Amino acid sequence: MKNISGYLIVSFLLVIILFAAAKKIDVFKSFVEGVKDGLRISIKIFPNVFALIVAVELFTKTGVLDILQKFLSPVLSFFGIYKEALGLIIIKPFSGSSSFAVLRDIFEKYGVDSDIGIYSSIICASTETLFYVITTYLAATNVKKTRYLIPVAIAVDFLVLIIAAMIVRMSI
Amino acid sequence: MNIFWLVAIVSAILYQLLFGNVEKITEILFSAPQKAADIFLTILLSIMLWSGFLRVVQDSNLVDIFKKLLKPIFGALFETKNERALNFMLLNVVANMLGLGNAATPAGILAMQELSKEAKNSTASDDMILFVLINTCSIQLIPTTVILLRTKFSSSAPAAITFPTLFVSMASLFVGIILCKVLSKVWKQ
Repeated sequence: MKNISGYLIVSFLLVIILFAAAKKIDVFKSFVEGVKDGLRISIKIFPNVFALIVAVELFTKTGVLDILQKFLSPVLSFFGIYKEALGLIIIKPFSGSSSFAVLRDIFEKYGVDSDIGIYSSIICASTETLFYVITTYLAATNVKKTRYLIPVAIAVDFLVLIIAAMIVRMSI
Repeated sequence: MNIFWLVAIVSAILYQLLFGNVEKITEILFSAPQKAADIFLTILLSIMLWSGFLRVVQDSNLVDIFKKLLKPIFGALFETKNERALNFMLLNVVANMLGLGNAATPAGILAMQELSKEAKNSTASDDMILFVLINTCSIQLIPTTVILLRTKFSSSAPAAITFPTLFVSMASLFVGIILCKVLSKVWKQ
């Protein structure tokens, strides 16, 4: 299991390169042109990502997150969502790497094969860093008004939390 | 996004002013840019690398193979007739499904740039919203990173979450697409 993604990436690259070479394309030149695009994109999105990271750092490290957790846990219990996974639920939409740190803590505290461990694994794998994705993708365009994007994204995220909780409870 | 940013910053500062110490804020204000720079460097290098490979894929028309398989679905979901946008969206979705998030991001951004050429008055088009939503649903055939972490914690069945994860993702994607299609009619541009 450990190496599946490694093999996948390497074979994917091999196919790309061999296919391009077979088509008699100047692979080096193509690659360099792509790198230039990548540099341009990154510089364009950086200010937005920077702003998001500063806000997330302030929000999580000052302790406001802890207050939000206290406030939200009865709401979650009402929907059958495991409130022990709340930290993960709040962090995941903003930062992928922080959410893995939180998942690690949950495994240590409750056990990897406990209901909470399994529930947290499922939601960690089936939700995305939605605010991060939205910020990065929109930063590349001139869009200011996102209409129904954020409400729908949050609703879908919430649905994942509920369905996953139902699955975990059913399979006991 | 403006509202989220304001709420996060203002609540953090107010909370520390009222109950904590202001030192904490200044401390974070010094460490956060450093963290942002670290993250940016990682993103920058990874986007540069994968944009390079992406360009090779594009120039060699390899994407045509995926296109034949997924085109009917994409044609039904999206309104755009822009071939470049459709190609980038296809690449993005395929890379995401394989768990190649780093390769997916540049393709996704390029797709958004193509789609935004059709948008008017700096308002997100239905296609742009649906595409971002598909990206936030995180459809992965194998959730490798979580499985890896479970293995490290000596789980008795590290991969047992694969099917539930796929099921939950598909269900949420399905509902998300329906919500988008319904709201696109009601929520005018």
